[in-house]
Amino acid sequence: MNQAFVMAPGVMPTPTLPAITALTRPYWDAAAQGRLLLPRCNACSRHFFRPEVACSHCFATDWQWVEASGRGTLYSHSIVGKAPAPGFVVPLVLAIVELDEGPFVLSNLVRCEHRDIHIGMPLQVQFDEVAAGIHLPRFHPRL
Amino acid sequence: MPHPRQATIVGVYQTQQARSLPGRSSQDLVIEAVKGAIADAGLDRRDIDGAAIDWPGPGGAPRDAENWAMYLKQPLSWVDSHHLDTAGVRGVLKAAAAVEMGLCDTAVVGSGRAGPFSADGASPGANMSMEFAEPYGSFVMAQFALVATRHMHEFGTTAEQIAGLSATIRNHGHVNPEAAMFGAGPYSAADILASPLIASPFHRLDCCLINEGGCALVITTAERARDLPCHPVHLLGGGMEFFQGNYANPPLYRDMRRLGHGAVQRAFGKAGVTPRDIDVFSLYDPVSFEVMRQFEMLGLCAEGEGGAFVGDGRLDLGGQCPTNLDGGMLAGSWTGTGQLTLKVIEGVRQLRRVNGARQVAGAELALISNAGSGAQHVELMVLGRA
Repeated sequence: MNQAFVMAPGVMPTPTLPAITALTRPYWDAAAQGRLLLPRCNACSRHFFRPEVACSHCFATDWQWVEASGRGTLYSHSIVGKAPAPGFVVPLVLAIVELDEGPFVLSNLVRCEHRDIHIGMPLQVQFDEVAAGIHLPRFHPRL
Repeated sequence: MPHPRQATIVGVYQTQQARSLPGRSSQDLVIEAVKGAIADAGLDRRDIDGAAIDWPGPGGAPRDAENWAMYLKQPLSWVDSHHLDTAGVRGVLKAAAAVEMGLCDTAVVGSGRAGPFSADGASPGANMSMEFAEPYGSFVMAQFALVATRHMHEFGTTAEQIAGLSATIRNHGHVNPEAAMFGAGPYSAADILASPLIASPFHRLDCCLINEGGCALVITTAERARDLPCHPVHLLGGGMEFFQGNYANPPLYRDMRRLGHGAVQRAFGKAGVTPRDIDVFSLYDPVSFEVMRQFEMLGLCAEGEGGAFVGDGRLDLGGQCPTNLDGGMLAGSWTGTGQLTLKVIEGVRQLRRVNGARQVAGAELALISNAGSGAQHVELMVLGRA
């Protein structure tokens, strides 16, 4: 990037950027356009996550990226009080989100008071630009 | 009578374990530990023909156990080099398999660590290129926390129960002169809860240490052990279970509630005993919560009842299930891999009945565990006094 990146106000910084590979590049390219992609297996028709060379359900290597709803529910969470690495701003909420399509993903729960967090709460994805061109899917409460 | 080649632990050694060991290097610590364990066994270095020993360097290809051939028997008959194979239950089980199979006769397992854990101050597990975990602030303690939060949600386990268990284990370390946190207590559950939040429900004093130290042990055949000075400790059974690659995928309690059950069946089935027969427990405690989950895994209490089970002095010396009497990893030591081995060493010393003020009277059987739910793998073994 030629110009200096300036994070939008209110976006939680992420000093540890994703180690993107050729396999996962489509996921991050779509995220930059505000779309959440999931791998879906052409053999067993199930979604899976993380992206892998073969489907984690049936071991088939024939799969495609499909757009997901971006909806899910909170499966578990932890309020992190100690910065895991320099540059994180704490407290932050680490969350496991059960997506409506089936897979579970690690993410952050944002725009939610800690006292309002409860397991099972409906969530919606948002995309936070945390570095130039890197948009991180995070989740906020769905009303 | 044991089988002549039955794997038997005949030597153990741990260096000083402390937050900082000025002037020591990882290589220097592992050398002290290897020499110490061989001497404890009453053996000479040329008796050692198998090595699952870390090689921190400098010099030689980093991590490769082949480097040890210059110090031990040349040529070595068996080596194992992966960092989780040079320590703890996994290291000992693999060395034991090699000894019983006849690939080697006497093997050493060991490791040591000094110096900063990470160059930039990142917590363990926060800097492993986990593309879909670390950008969110994931690290090892937080992954265990994600399991604990769900356990609390499903069963009503409380932060006070977790803190009470942390206090129990830390108080064991408070009175163990070899523990890194010797004399730092005593602690109450309120003290634990008052320490800074790391990753809810865990506070700093619910979490294991990061410190320096080395340790090693020697495994040989039951037949060879008969001629050696220390009371032999037999490896009666072992089991391992790996759910998936750790720290890259979210740890779901839905899956982790079963983690370790197969390893328990395998280890106790081979040993021919049950968890109720165990006299002393040396359970992996990256966080105290994992100890209560393991009692559920062992079937010593029902799923969800671990929080109540670990209270009322049950885990203390003199209690029904004496556990982590050395202070475990919360107060004893955590060095990256050495704590895996120290779990075994504590069990061996209890079965030799040489553990002084924390000795469990008449100990015959010990259970050792490594890893746990947040790590998504479990290794277990049952040790028996010969």
